[in-house]
Amino acid sequence: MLRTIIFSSVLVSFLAIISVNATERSATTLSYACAGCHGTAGVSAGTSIPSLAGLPSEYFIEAMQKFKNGKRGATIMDRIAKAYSNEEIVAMAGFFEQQTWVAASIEVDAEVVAQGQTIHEDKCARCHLAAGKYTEYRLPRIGGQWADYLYFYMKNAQIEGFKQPQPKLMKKSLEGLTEAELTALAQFYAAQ
Amino acid sequence: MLNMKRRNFIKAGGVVAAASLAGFPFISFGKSTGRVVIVGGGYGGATAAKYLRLADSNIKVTLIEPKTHYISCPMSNEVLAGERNISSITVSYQALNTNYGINLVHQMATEIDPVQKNVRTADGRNFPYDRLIVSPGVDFRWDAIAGYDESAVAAMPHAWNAGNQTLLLRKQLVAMEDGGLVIIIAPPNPFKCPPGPYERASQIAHYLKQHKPKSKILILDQKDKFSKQGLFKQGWKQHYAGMIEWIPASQDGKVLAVHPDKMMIETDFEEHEGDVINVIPPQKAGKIAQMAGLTDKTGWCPVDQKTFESTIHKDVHIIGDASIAGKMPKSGYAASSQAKVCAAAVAALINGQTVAEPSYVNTCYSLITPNHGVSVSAIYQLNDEGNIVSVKGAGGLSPMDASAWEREQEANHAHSWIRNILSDSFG
Repeated sequence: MLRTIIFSSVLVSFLAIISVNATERSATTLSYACAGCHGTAGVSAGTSIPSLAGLPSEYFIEAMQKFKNGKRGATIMDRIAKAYSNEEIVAMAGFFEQQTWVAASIEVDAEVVAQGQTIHEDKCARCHLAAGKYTEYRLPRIGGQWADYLYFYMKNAQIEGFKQPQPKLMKKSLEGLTEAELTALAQFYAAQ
Repeated sequence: MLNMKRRNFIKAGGVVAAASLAGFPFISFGKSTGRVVIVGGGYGGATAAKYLRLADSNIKVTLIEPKTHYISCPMSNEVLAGERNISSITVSYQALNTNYGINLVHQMATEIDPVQKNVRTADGRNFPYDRLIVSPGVDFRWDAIAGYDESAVAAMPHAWNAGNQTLLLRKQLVAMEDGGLVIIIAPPNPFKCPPGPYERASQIAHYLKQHKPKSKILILDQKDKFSKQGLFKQGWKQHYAGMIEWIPASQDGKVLAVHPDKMMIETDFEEHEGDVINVIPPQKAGKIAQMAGLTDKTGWCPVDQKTFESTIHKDVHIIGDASIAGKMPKSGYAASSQAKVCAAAVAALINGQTVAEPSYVNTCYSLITPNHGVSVSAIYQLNDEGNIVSVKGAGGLSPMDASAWEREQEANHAHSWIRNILSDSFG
């Protein structure tokens, strides 16, 4: 809770810094550049690259700040996030929050999805409400997100020493899940 | 690892298009009657057309491009390896018309008159413009290598524009016997897709390793270093030990002449006979840019790097491979990023508004095997002198010595990237 309050005040001060400087790059200009990888308006068409449309700005800002500061492991976003100022990250967060979420269109195996649902209900449903479709504040929507992205995220979280920010409860929930179980979970969420 | 099927990106593109219509904020400046003509429908031209309409839906946009379908150069090396069907990187222009109301003219632009502000097409039609965007890609310097003229491409394909040349090179690789030698001539800087020749060598090696393991690949390079060199060399050692030999220009890599009839390459000290020879010729701005007088003595097009307006002809903008865009490489992603900056500038100029401060990006993935991907990325800004420079302390290469799992994730990102860039540009 305390961290939440501190984080909110940081966010407010970021917003306060935004000025109408002529050389400032607009939210649209900055965010359009992301679309080559993350899809037009943040709706991804690629299985391992997440959709950003409709992400809560708090989650987006936290993720980008952690990539930027080396607190979240990545293949490439750590390199990219370093290019943007705190104000620019806030501007992009605002842009993507306003975009409309479109669920991933993927072919899934009903049996695997059912397996995933069981694991979800047992281990994840307490926070990831409504089959992962619920999103608020720092909780991203995962229902309808791309399966490869979710799988990579969870698999990395299991790697000792990999910097994957997550609540303690989530770390505990993921412990010991096999690759097949992670795949089932990822497919379950992607199918929502 | 997930067993995800590669889905048809055209379908995925449809999803994105639907999203655009439903939820995308059209930023209309008001009632403008601007006419913008775009010549060339690669990543640059297609993206410019789409993002112009997103910026201001009152601007009339006409895209002049002879082909009805675009075939992507990025990922076409996977076609050479037999890992991908060319149809998976072929996309129709139709969505640009259906989703964004862009007027498609499938003709060759044959003449640009920058004074009368008119484009003429091969069928004799005229397209007057208020502003013109030219995205012509590259043309080859047919006079640069003795013996390599346009008739030589049947024996020694360049395959540097994806399509029939790609399929021809693939056919030659399939027909080659085990133990054969594949020669790749890599071009001097600057050229389209700097890591491309080395990804190509990797993809061909991937194919040969499975089907013709006694074969070898020789790269004769017209320069002494290349993009992602450390990462490629590490990957080659790991997957293709003894199979790929790279000869830099200073160690007799420089080609003096090619002999298509004898399937032979001449350098200062040697004659190399190859079973399959891929010549990637030196390059310059696309033909229409040269004809319109948009190029300088370098063979490329000088532009104002904020708006991409030609410094030679007013109201004509040049984007993509043909332009001199500061530190940005000549890549599909760079072209699409420049297109967005240019589209915003053109919309602002037509509406008499201030041109916004630009932001540009480039990410290039290369596949060393289907599961071993590496990348280079940079974010660019305009400096005080008006030149595009990369943001310091950001971007860069994939790390050396990364785990197989990291390389696998990057390979997956490469495959996701192609779907996104194609739907962002054409969908």
